[in-house]
Amino acid sequence: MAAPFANGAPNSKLVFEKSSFDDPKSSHERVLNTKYFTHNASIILPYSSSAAQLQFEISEIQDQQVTYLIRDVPVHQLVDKEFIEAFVKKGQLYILSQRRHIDTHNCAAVFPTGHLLLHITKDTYEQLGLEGKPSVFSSLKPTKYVVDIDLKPDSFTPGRKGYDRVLWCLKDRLGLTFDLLISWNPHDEKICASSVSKFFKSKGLVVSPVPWCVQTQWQNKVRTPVLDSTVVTATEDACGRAEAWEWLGAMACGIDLSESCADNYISTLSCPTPSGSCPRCCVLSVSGFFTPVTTKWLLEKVRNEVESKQEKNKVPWGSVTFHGFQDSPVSVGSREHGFFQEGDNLHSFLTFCNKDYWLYSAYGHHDLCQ
Amino acid sequence: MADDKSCTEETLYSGLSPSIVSHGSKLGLQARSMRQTDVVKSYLKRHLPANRLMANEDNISRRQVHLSRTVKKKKFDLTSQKKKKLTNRERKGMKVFKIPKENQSYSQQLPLHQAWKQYMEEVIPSSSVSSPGAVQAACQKVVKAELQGGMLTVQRSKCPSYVGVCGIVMQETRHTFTFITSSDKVKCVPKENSIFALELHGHIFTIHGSHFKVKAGERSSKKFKSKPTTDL
Amino acid sequence: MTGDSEKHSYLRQVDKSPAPYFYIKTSLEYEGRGLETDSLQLKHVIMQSMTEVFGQVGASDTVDVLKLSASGEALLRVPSRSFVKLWGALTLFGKYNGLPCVFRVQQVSSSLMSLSCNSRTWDIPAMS
Repeated sequence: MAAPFANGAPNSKLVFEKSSFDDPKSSHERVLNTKYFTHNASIILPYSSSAAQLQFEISEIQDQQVTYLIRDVPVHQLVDKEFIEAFVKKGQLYILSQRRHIDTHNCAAVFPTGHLLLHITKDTYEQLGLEGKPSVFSSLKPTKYVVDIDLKPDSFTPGRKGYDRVLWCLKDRLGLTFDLLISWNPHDEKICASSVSKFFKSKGLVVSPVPWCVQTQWQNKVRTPVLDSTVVTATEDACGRAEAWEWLGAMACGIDLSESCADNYISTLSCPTPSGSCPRCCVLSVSGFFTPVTTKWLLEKVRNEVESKQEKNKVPWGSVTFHGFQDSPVSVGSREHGFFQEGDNLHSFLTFCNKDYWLYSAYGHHDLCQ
Repeated sequence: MADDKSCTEETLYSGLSPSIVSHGSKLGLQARSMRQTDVVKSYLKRHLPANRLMANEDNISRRQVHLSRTVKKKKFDLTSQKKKKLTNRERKGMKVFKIPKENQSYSQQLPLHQAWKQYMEEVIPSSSVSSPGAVQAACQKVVKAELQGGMLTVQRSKCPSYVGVCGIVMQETRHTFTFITSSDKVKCVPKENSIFALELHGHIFTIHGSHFKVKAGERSSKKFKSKPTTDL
Repeated sequence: MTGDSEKHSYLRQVDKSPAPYFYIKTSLEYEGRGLETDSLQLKHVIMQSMTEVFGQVGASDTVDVLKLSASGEALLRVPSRSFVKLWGALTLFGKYNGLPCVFRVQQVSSSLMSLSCNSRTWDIPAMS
């Protein structure tokens, strides 16, 4: 037997939680509220007959929850007092830099808490002049630094020393620019969410809306695992959480499990036992820049599909997975996120018809996990 | 008058027994009449070693030697012969290099800066920095030039609060630069882990502080070796 | 009250040790042109690359070719103890049947779910 490598695969983390939506202490609201930037939502609905309806509803909601891509935004624009008063202090603002790799480039993000986070390289940090901390995942000689600027305090106004220093560093010292993905939820229903795009257009920047990319796959005669919300470890009657997780991943990637069996040369992955047959399984994938408003809406829709069906068309369970951005500076809340060999930060809800759910939170090597 | 110390035959030989006195002549003893001090002197002369007696002196001086006490020989101390230096505390207490508050104003240091510009014009004439090769030669001269009075800016630093500090150099020590900024603030910036920029004749010269930690006076003779990396 | 607590039972389990399997999304590119490969041939190529570097015994670990898409992207599954070996073998592989080729690894993960999308290669389509 060849010797295995001592420090083989990177350490990844998987947190499994089993709870119920009716439980007042349920953490699903908190998890979705603090997952600021979601890139993709994968919905897997076996046994469901009205998935087409769901697809239609998703394309309808797209017009209401608009996100924008703005090219070459100078960072000092984000500390502009007018911008802060209009968008940061009122409503909820979500900003993330695009096409920047978190491990090699500078990244920027603004959270609804009013913090501007700059995740910058060592060279940029030494030239910028703003105080920051080394990244949590850095070794003895840090290569990346995190600069956190709080935009909301009243003391952060022009004329004050702190503000002037920040503005001078971002504007005159180093003119950093980013391509930004922006979404703003106004505090007042009368104000349109597109006012943020109008603000940047007035500064002479190129603003384009970010459309959602919806892909649907239908698989016929699929073997699905038998799942019971109370059975977490595999038994004779139901599959365990680990088997269910792998099966969900296989469905999301579009892997055909019908031909494979344990002694097949090409692949040994097969549907876990015990399994049942499902006539049609729908896999919906929606890509874009989503905020907690959209993710909560999608979860509600999936729950509706699973919980509201009558006995005849009963859907025992369905799943929705929210993939975070691999280059996001945070995973959940203010927990720092990095990219090592993978930048996973995803949360998957497996909802049952009795309002129980299983929550899988998968994190990569450079992620903080309790 | 007879001396107290003088003695006659009776007194001198009074201690002897009378039979010796009477039969003294038979024994060959001769009676002498001399003074007490003469007796002592002659006795000492006969019995003491010669070096104990002072030459040409009648007085025998007694020398006391205390066997229990030893006298240390005083060493010839070289260090006490050196000049006494000031300790760090004393030097700081004298505040020789501290510029008084009334002189800590940017406008007062501007004439110094003008003088420095003239000095640099002599060291590196503006006409000589036209070609890239000449710029390289100018770099060598800047390294050896006096920077006090020049306008430097901290371009990069491991500590972000030093970045952007710009002013006229008031003092240069082995490890620091002391600037006066345009807002009349005196800032002392360590050379370590900082990169300074100097503008001269339209060119910007970059000084890597970590490799520049030499006293200003010694810089003219120091040979600067190339380092493997200029990373901070 | 007791009924409620039985109803809402909460369970939390954290796995911090390496996952049992690792998944690699890769594509095999031939110099100058794309050659059509099927899963069987791809599996053979992978086995050959492992044998070249690690020998017969080193190539004894099971590598599953889970999917081969029309665009040439393949999803592989390997036990985590052989993950580094497989990635190394794929990197060092240069020729198949005399033709220069290269394996381009696009994504790796410990969970198959995360290979379903890649935010790094996400091209924002223009709004119609």
